[in-house]
Amino acid sequence: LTPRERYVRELERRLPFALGLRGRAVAEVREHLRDGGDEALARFGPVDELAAELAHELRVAASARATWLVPALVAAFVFPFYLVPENAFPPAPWVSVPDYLAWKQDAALAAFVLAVGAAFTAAVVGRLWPRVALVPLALAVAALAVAATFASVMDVQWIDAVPGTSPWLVYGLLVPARLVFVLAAAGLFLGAGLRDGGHELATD
Amino acid sequence: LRSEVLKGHLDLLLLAALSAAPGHGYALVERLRDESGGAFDLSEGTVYPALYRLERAKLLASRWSVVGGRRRRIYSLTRTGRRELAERRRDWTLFAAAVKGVVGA
Repeated sequence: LTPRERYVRELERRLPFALGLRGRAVAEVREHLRDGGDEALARFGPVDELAAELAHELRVAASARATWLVPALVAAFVFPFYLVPENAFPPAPWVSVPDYLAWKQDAALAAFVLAVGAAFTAAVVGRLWPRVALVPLALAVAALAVAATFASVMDVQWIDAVPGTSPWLVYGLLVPARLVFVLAAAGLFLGAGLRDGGHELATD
Repeated sequence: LRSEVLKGHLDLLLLAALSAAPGHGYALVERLRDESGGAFDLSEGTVYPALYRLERAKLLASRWSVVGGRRRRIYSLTRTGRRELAERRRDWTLFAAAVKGVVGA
Protein backbone atom coordinates (compact mmCIF):
# COMPACT_ATOMS: atom_id res chain seq x y z
CA LEU A 1 0.00 0.00 0.00
CA THR A 2 1.15 3.52 -0.75
CA PRO A 3 1.22 6.01 2.19
CA ARG A 4 -1.71 7.82 0.59
CA GLU A 5 -3.86 4.69 0.35
CA ARG A 6 -2.86 3.71 3.88
CA TYR A 7 -4.04 7.14 5.06
CA VAL A 8 -7.36 6.74 3.28
CA ARG A 9 -7.95 3.26 4.70
CA GLU A 10 -7.04 4.42 8.19
CA LEU A 11 -9.50 7.28 7.80
CA GLU A 12 -12.20 4.88 6.64
CA ARG A 13 -11.58 2.64 9.65
CA ARG A 14 -12.06 5.57 12.03
CA LEU A 15 -15.18 7.10 10.49
CA PRO A 16 -18.73 5.98 11.37
CA PHE A 17 -20.86 4.40 8.63
CA ALA A 18 -23.29 7.32 8.92
CA LEU A 19 -25.90 5.95 6.49
CA GLY A 20 -23.39 5.75 3.65
CA LEU A 21 -21.93 9.21 4.11
CA ARG A 22 -18.59 7.66 5.12
CA GLY A 23 -18.16 6.35 1.57
CA ARG A 24 -18.56 9.82 0.16
CA ALA A 25 -16.02 11.35 2.55
CA VAL A 26 -13.48 8.61 1.88
CA ALA A 27 -13.93 8.91 -1.89
CA GLU A 28 -13.42 12.67 -1.73
CA VAL A 29 -10.21 12.37 0.27
CA ARG A 30 -8.92 9.64 -2.04
CA GLU A 31 -9.55 11.78 -5.13
CA HIS A 32 -7.98 14.79 -3.46
CA LEU A 33 -4.84 12.81 -2.66
CA ARG A 34 -4.64 11.59 -6.25
CA ASP A 35 -4.58 15.24 -7.33
CA GLY A 36 -2.31 16.63 -4.68
CA GLY A 37 0.07 13.72 -4.11
CA ASP A 38 2.38 13.55 -1.11
CA GLU A 39 2.21 17.30 -0.54
CA ALA A 40 -1.55 17.09 -0.04
CA LEU A 41 -1.07 14.09 2.25
CA ALA A 42 1.12 16.15 4.55
CA ARG A 43 -1.39 19.00 4.52
CA PHE A 44 -4.29 16.76 5.54
CA GLY A 45 -2.65 16.40 8.95
CA PRO A 46 -2.88 13.51 11.43
CA VAL A 47 -5.56 11.02 10.40
CA ASP A 48 -7.10 10.86 13.87
CA GLU A 49 -7.66 14.65 13.93
CA LEU A 50 -9.28 14.66 10.50
CA ALA A 51 -11.37 11.61 11.41
CA ALA A 52 -12.58 13.24 14.63
CA GLU A 53 -13.74 16.39 12.84
CA LEU A 54 -15.29 14.56 9.90
CA ALA A 55 -16.94 11.97 12.14
CA HIS A 56 -18.83 14.66 13.98
CA GLU A 57 -20.08 16.21 10.75
CA LEU A 58 -21.02 12.82 9.28
CA ARG A 59 -22.96 11.81 12.39
CA VAL A 60 -24.95 15.04 12.42
CA ALA A 61 -25.68 14.77 8.70
CA ALA A 62 -26.72 11.13 9.05
CA SER A 63 -28.99 11.99 11.96
CA ALA A 64 -30.61 14.75 9.93
CA ARG A 65 -31.19 12.26 7.11
CA ALA A 66 -32.69 9.69 9.50
CA THR A 67 -35.08 12.26 10.97
CA TRP A 68 -36.99 12.41 7.69
CA LEU A 69 -36.46 8.86 6.44
CA VAL A 70 -37.80 7.16 9.60
CA PRO A 71 -40.94 9.36 9.75
CA ALA A 72 -41.52 8.55 6.06
CA LEU A 73 -41.30 4.83 6.89
CA VAL A 74 -43.67 5.23 9.84
CA ALA A 75 -46.17 7.01 7.58
CA ALA A 76 -45.91 4.29 4.91
CA PHE A 77 -46.39 1.63 7.61
CA VAL A 78 -50.10 2.48 7.56
CA PHE A 79 -50.42 0.26 4.45
CA PRO A 80 -49.41 -3.13 5.96
CA PHE A 81 -50.69 -2.06 9.37
CA TYR A 82 -54.21 -0.94 8.51
CA LEU A 83 -55.12 -0.25 4.88
CA VAL A 84 -54.30 -3.68 3.41
CA PRO A 85 -55.93 -5.82 6.16
CA GLU A 86 -58.93 -3.51 6.33
CA ASN A 87 -59.61 -3.91 2.62
CA ALA A 88 -58.44 -7.50 2.06
CA PHE A 89 -59.78 -9.37 5.08
CA PRO A 90 -63.33 -10.79 4.95
CA PRO A 91 -65.95 -9.10 7.14
CA ALA A 92 -65.94 -10.27 10.77
CA PRO A 93 -68.90 -12.46 11.80
CA TRP A 94 -69.39 -10.74 15.17
CA VAL A 95 -70.87 -7.46 16.36
CA SER A 96 -68.08 -6.62 18.78
CA VAL A 97 -64.47 -7.87 18.57
CA PRO A 98 -63.71 -10.71 21.06
CA ASP A 99 -61.63 -9.64 24.06
CA TYR A 100 -58.61 -11.78 23.15
CA LEU A 101 -58.35 -9.88 19.85
CA ALA A 102 -59.61 -6.49 21.01
CA TRP A 103 -56.81 -5.76 23.48
CA LYS A 104 -54.18 -6.63 20.90
CA GLN A 105 -55.90 -4.37 18.39
CA ASP A 106 -55.97 -1.54 20.94
CA ALA A 107 -52.34 -2.09 21.91
CA ALA A 108 -51.24 -2.11 18.26
CA LEU A 109 -53.18 1.07 17.54
CA ALA A 110 -51.82 2.84 20.63
CA ALA A 111 -48.26 1.86 19.72
CA PHE A 112 -48.74 3.08 16.15
CA VAL A 113 -50.14 6.42 17.32
CA LEU A 114 -47.13 6.73 19.64
CA ALA A 115 -44.78 5.91 16.75
CA VAL A 116 -46.40 8.59 14.56
CA GLY A 117 -46.17 11.19 17.34
CA ALA A 118 -42.54 10.37 18.14
CA ALA A 119 -41.57 10.34 14.45
CA PHE A 120 -43.24 13.71 13.89
CA THR A 121 -41.43 15.10 16.93
CA ALA A 122 -38.13 13.75 15.60
CA ALA A 123 -38.79 15.34 12.20
CA VAL A 124 -39.46 18.74 13.78
CA VAL A 125 -36.64 18.62 16.35
CA GLY A 126 -34.26 17.25 13.71
CA ARG A 127 -34.48 20.46 11.67
CA LEU A 128 -32.53 22.24 14.41
CA TRP A 129 -30.90 19.57 16.56
CA PRO A 130 -30.42 16.36 14.56
CA ARG A 131 -28.57 14.53 17.35
CA VAL A 132 -31.22 15.38 19.96
CA ALA A 133 -33.84 14.03 17.55
CA LEU A 134 -32.31 10.56 17.98
CA VAL A 135 -34.20 10.25 21.27
CA PRO A 136 -37.74 10.54 19.82
CA LEU A 137 -36.49 8.58 16.83
CA ALA A 138 -35.57 5.66 19.11
CA LEU A 139 -39.02 5.83 20.67
CA ALA A 140 -40.63 5.84 17.21
CA VAL A 141 -38.70 2.72 16.15
CA ALA A 142 -39.52 0.88 19.39
CA ALA A 143 -43.20 1.81 19.16
CA LEU A 144 -43.28 0.70 15.51
CA ALA A 145 -41.86 -2.70 16.54
CA VAL A 146 -44.54 -3.06 19.22
CA ALA A 147 -47.30 -2.09 16.77
CA ALA A 148 -45.99 -4.58 14.21
CA THR A 149 -45.80 -7.37 16.78
CA PHE A 150 -49.32 -6.94 18.16
CA ALA A 151 -50.83 -6.42 14.71
CA SER A 152 -49.12 -9.57 13.39
CA VAL A 153 -50.16 -11.75 16.34
CA MET A 154 -53.71 -10.48 15.95
CA ASP A 155 -53.74 -11.21 12.21
CA VAL A 156 -52.49 -14.77 12.77
CA GLN A 157 -55.33 -15.35 15.24
CA TRP A 158 -57.71 -13.70 12.79
CA ILE A 159 -57.13 -16.61 10.38
CA ASP A 160 -58.86 -19.03 12.77
CA ALA A 161 -61.37 -16.52 14.09
CA VAL A 162 -62.71 -15.32 10.76
CA PRO A 163 -63.35 -17.96 8.04
CA GLY A 164 -62.06 -16.93 4.63
CA THR A 165 -59.05 -14.99 5.91
CA SER A 166 -56.15 -15.82 3.61
CA PRO A 167 -53.14 -17.35 5.45
CA TRP A 168 -51.05 -16.44 2.41
CA LEU A 169 -51.96 -12.79 2.84
CA VAL A 170 -51.00 -12.88 6.52
CA TYR A 171 -47.87 -15.05 6.40
CA GLY A 172 -46.74 -14.20 2.90
CA LEU A 173 -47.36 -10.47 2.82
CA LEU A 174 -48.44 -8.64 5.97
CA VAL A 175 -46.10 -10.18 8.56
CA PRO A 176 -42.98 -10.01 6.32
CA ALA A 177 -43.85 -6.49 5.16
CA ARG A 178 -44.20 -5.25 8.74
CA LEU A 179 -40.92 -6.94 9.65
CA VAL A 180 -39.18 -5.22 6.74
CA PHE A 181 -40.53 -1.84 7.85
CA VAL A 182 -39.34 -2.35 11.42
CA LEU A 183 -35.91 -3.61 10.36
CA ALA A 184 -35.50 -0.72 7.93
CA ALA A 185 -36.43 1.85 10.58
CA ALA A 186 -34.10 0.21 13.12
CA GLY A 187 -31.31 0.07 10.55
CA LEU A 188 -31.69 3.78 9.75
CA PHE A 189 -31.66 4.66 13.43
CA LEU A 190 -28.62 2.53 14.21
CA GLY A 191 -26.80 3.62 11.06
CA ALA A 192 -27.19 7.25 12.08
CA GLY A 193 -26.65 6.86 15.80
CA LEU A 194 -23.97 4.28 16.45
CA ARG A 195 -20.27 4.90 16.59
CA ASP A 196 -18.14 3.04 14.05
CA GLY A 197 -18.39 -0.69 14.52
CA GLY A 198 -19.36 -0.37 18.19
CA HIS A 199 -22.53 -0.55 20.17
CA GLU A 200 -22.25 2.77 21.90
CA LEU A 201 -24.80 5.36 20.89
CA ALA A 202 -22.96 8.54 20.00
CA THR A 203 -24.50 11.57 21.66
CA ASP A 204 -22.19 14.33 20.48
CA LEU B 1 -1.08 34.29 8.20
CA ARG B 2 -1.66 32.57 11.52
CA SER B 3 -3.98 29.61 11.23
CA GLU B 4 -6.32 30.90 13.97
CA VAL B 5 -6.82 34.13 11.98
CA LEU B 6 -7.70 32.09 8.91
CA LYS B 7 -10.05 29.80 10.81
CA GLY B 8 -12.03 32.80 12.02
CA HIS B 9 -12.81 33.71 8.43
CA LEU B 10 -12.92 30.24 6.95
CA ASP B 11 -16.64 30.19 6.13
CA LEU B 12 -16.49 33.57 4.40
CA LEU B 13 -13.43 32.52 2.40
CA LEU B 14 -15.00 29.27 1.23
CA LEU B 15 -18.30 30.93 0.30
CA ALA B 16 -16.45 33.67 -1.58
CA ALA B 17 -14.23 31.16 -3.39
CA LEU B 18 -17.30 29.27 -4.57
CA SER B 19 -19.19 32.41 -5.61
CA ALA B 20 -17.15 32.67 -8.81
CA ALA B 21 -17.66 29.07 -9.89
CA PRO B 22 -18.51 25.67 -8.39
CA GLY B 23 -15.55 23.48 -7.57
CA HIS B 24 -14.26 20.39 -5.80
CA GLY B 25 -12.22 20.34 -2.61
CA TYR B 26 -8.79 20.28 -4.19
CA ALA B 27 -9.64 23.06 -6.63
CA LEU B 28 -10.97 25.18 -3.76
CA VAL B 29 -7.75 24.87 -1.77
CA GLU B 30 -5.78 25.81 -4.88
CA ARG B 31 -8.12 28.69 -5.72
CA LEU B 32 -7.80 30.18 -2.23
CA ARG B 33 -4.02 29.86 -2.33
CA ASP B 34 -3.73 31.40 -5.80
CA GLU B 35 -6.17 34.25 -5.28
CA SER B 36 -4.55 35.25 -1.99
CA GLY B 37 -1.06 35.19 -3.46
CA GLY B 38 -0.19 32.23 -1.23
CA ALA B 39 -1.31 33.90 2.01
CA PHE B 40 -4.33 31.65 2.53
CA ASP B 41 -2.67 28.27 2.65
CA LEU B 42 -5.51 26.31 4.21
CA SER B 43 -4.89 22.74 5.22
CA GLU B 44 -7.11 20.12 3.65
CA GLY B 45 -7.94 18.80 7.10
CA THR B 46 -9.60 22.12 7.85
CA VAL B 47 -11.40 22.60 4.55
CA TYR B 48 -13.40 19.35 4.33
CA PRO B 49 -15.08 19.51 7.75
CA ALA B 50 -15.95 23.14 6.99
CA LEU B 51 -17.45 22.21 3.61
CA TYR B 52 -19.57 19.52 5.28
CA ARG B 53 -20.71 21.97 7.95
CA LEU B 54 -21.67 24.61 5.36
CA GLU B 55 -23.54 22.01 3.34
CA ARG B 56 -25.44 20.90 6.45
CA ALA B 57 -26.37 24.56 7.03
CA LYS B 58 -27.74 24.54 3.45
CA LEU B 59 -25.33 27.28 2.38
CA LEU B 60 -23.67 24.85 -0.04
CA ALA B 61 -24.93 22.01 -2.20
CA SER B 62 -22.83 19.22 -3.63
CA ARG B 63 -23.12 16.49 -6.24
CA TRP B 64 -20.91 13.89 -7.87
CA SER B 65 -19.71 14.76 -11.33
CA VAL B 66 -17.32 13.06 -13.74
CA VAL B 67 -14.63 15.48 -14.91
CA GLY B 68 -11.90 14.22 -17.22
CA GLY B 69 -12.80 10.63 -16.40
CA ARG B 70 -12.49 11.29 -12.66
CA ARG B 71 -15.39 11.27 -10.23
CA ARG B 72 -15.51 14.58 -8.32
CA ARG B 73 -17.71 15.98 -5.59
CA ILE B 74 -18.56 19.45 -6.84
CA TYR B 75 -19.64 22.13 -4.37
CA SER B 76 -21.72 25.15 -5.28
CA LEU B 77 -23.46 27.99 -3.46
CA THR B 78 -27.15 27.67 -2.76
CA ARG B 79 -29.49 30.66 -2.87
CA THR B 80 -29.27 30.82 0.93
CA GLY B 81 -25.50 30.64 0.61
CA ARG B 82 -25.46 33.64 -1.76
CA ARG B 83 -27.56 35.66 0.67
CA GLU B 84 -25.30 34.65 3.54
CA LEU B 85 -22.21 35.58 1.55
CA ALA B 86 -23.64 39.03 0.75
CA GLU B 87 -24.31 39.63 4.46
CA ARG B 88 -20.89 38.41 5.52
CA ARG B 89 -19.21 40.55 2.86
CA ARG B 90 -21.02 43.61 4.19
CA ASP B 91 -20.03 42.74 7.76
CA TRP B 92 -16.45 42.12 6.69
CA THR B 93 -16.19 45.46 4.88
CA LEU B 94 -17.45 47.31 7.96
CA PHE B 95 -15.16 45.31 10.24
CA ALA B 96 -12.08 45.79 8.06
CA ALA B 97 -12.68 49.53 7.77
CA ALA B 98 -13.13 49.80 11.54
CA VAL B 99 -9.97 47.81 12.29
CA LYS B 100 -8.02 49.89 9.79
CA GLY B 101 -9.29 53.05 11.48
CA VAL B 102 -8.08 51.86 14.88
CA VAL B 103 -4.90 50.03 13.94
CA GLY B 104 -3.92 52.21 11.00
CA ALA B 105 -2.76 51.19 7.55
